[in-house]
Amino acid sequence: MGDGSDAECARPPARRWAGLARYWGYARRPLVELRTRRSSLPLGWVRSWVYAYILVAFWRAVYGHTAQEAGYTLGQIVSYVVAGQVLNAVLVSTAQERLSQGVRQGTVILDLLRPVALPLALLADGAGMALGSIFSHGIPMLIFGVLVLHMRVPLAPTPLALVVLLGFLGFALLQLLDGLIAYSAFWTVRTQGLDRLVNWIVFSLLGGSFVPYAFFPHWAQGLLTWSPLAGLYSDPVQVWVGRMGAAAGLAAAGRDLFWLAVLMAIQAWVHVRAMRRVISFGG
Amino acid sequence: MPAAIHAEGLARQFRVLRVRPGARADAGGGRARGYARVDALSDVTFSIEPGQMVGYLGPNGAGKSTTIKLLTGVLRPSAGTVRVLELDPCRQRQRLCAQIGVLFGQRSQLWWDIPLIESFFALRYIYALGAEDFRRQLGRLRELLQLDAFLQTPVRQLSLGQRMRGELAAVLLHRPRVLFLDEPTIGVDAVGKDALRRFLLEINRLDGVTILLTSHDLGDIESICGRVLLLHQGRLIGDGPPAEMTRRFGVRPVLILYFSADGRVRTDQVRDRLPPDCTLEARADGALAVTFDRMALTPPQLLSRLGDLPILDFRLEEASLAHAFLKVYGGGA
Repeated sequence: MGDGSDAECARPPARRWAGLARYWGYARRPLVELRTRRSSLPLGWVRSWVYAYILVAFWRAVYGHTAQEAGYTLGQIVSYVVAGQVLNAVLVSTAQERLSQGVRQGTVILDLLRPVALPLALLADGAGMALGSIFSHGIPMLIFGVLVLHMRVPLAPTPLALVVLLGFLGFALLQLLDGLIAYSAFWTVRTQGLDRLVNWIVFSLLGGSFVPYAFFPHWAQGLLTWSPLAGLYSDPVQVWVGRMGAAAGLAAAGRDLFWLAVLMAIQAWVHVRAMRRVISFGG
Repeated sequence: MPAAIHAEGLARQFRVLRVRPGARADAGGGRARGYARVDALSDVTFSIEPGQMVGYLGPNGAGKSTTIKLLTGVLRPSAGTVRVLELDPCRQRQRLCAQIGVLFGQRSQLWWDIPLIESFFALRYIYALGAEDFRRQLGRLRELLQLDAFLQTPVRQLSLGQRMRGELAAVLLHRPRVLFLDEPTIGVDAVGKDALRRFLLEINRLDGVTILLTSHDLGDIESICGRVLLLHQGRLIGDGPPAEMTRRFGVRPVLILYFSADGRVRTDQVRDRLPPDCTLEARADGALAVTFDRMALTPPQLLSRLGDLPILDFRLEEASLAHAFLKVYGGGA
């Protein structure tokens, strides 16, 4: 996933892995930034707690006195939406923000002046952001969910391991999907409208962040279950609330790996073409 | 020894969006938008030897920054070839970037929201610097650029001069062999400029760093560069030492003469004593300005010709790159 340069392709595998240490420079930036502005964290916690509380209130209103909807009990749906909010901490990406701004303002050239591959630099940046976000948002949301909203938490080793695995794969899928949107900046310059549309409708709604696929029309369920979007929220959260067993979870992980390979190939292809379109005017 | 930088027939074109303003365009009177092809750089050829400090001069839009982006592999040339440290910047960008430093005065490469020292730590990993090597180089840069007072300050809270010193340290942490500086002193005060110039001379002398410098402050270039490349509308129009450039473009030194108030020296009295190729101009403050050819006449020779006149004082204005710049770019080459 470099820039297609001869030198990078010719580099022996051992040196390639050693070269990966360079990306810690990108991954640690969001962590340092988090440390620098830690005083503003409580405001973020309150905001996300209120949002989770509203989502839960919405579902309680939908259920009314009904015991079960689309196979979900009220307890499961509450756990589902709050678990989705916990996963939000992992499912973060900085690619759109970094690249669309960088292309428009010409600052993308600064990333290209470093001895790193741009896609890996973006991935490292996102990984650092996710790592920081787990501590700054994920854990506070988990505590709030368990103590206030009575969220169910998987404690058995198998579902717990599956949630971690699927969450990790979901993070990787998001980086590639978000990266592809971000690369469109090299053609459209401004991707801000696209950002919002994709973030709020595609990734959150169609990813199954706050509405399980069971509530979607049958044709959409079939389509989404086989799409890479299912790997973002739907699969890990279904394992979390006990709606998906180990076998189905592993099958979902296999499907995620397939999509990761496909998306990596597409991104590598797009990246090479994007690099030919780099334009930066002025000093 | 191979050249540190070699460009051959370098050219770059851009497609630039043109949007016609006004109601006529809105009403459909002709195309409201279209694209124009702009030749940012045409057939530029030069070589820079290792350890040279070269000024790259030209007015806004001449193609200076474009050249730097082509030399560093950020942009692909439309035509021509480039080799920097014997590498092809486009195809071997990552390898090249590990050996060069690039500073764009108008674009910060430091991370805005974190303390300056944290940007250096991040760069330590990005350039795969060993702990000891990093510690030693950072210590040296801290001393030379006097960074200690603001190392722990977030970059967004630094003054322009402090930020520029930080930027310079950031591009030098990995000990680059070639340094590209695009307007490094923009917005920096006189004291800061002087410190930066001395610093560049120092790293060139101690480390043999090759430097390509663009600046609108011609003092920067005159004070540190032994060679200048003059660029005009994307084409190279001059290459040589600053003094040679000023001569080549017909810029001459000026001797300004002040006469005693009761001396009553007439212009023609002075003119009679000067060779024909000297020009004479009366100034508003009563002084006479004599423009002469230094190759034909030295200032002492000129003064000795005027020795019998009641000269009270005199001042020599050397032909400078600024004068050449004005002549070439202000009056047409």
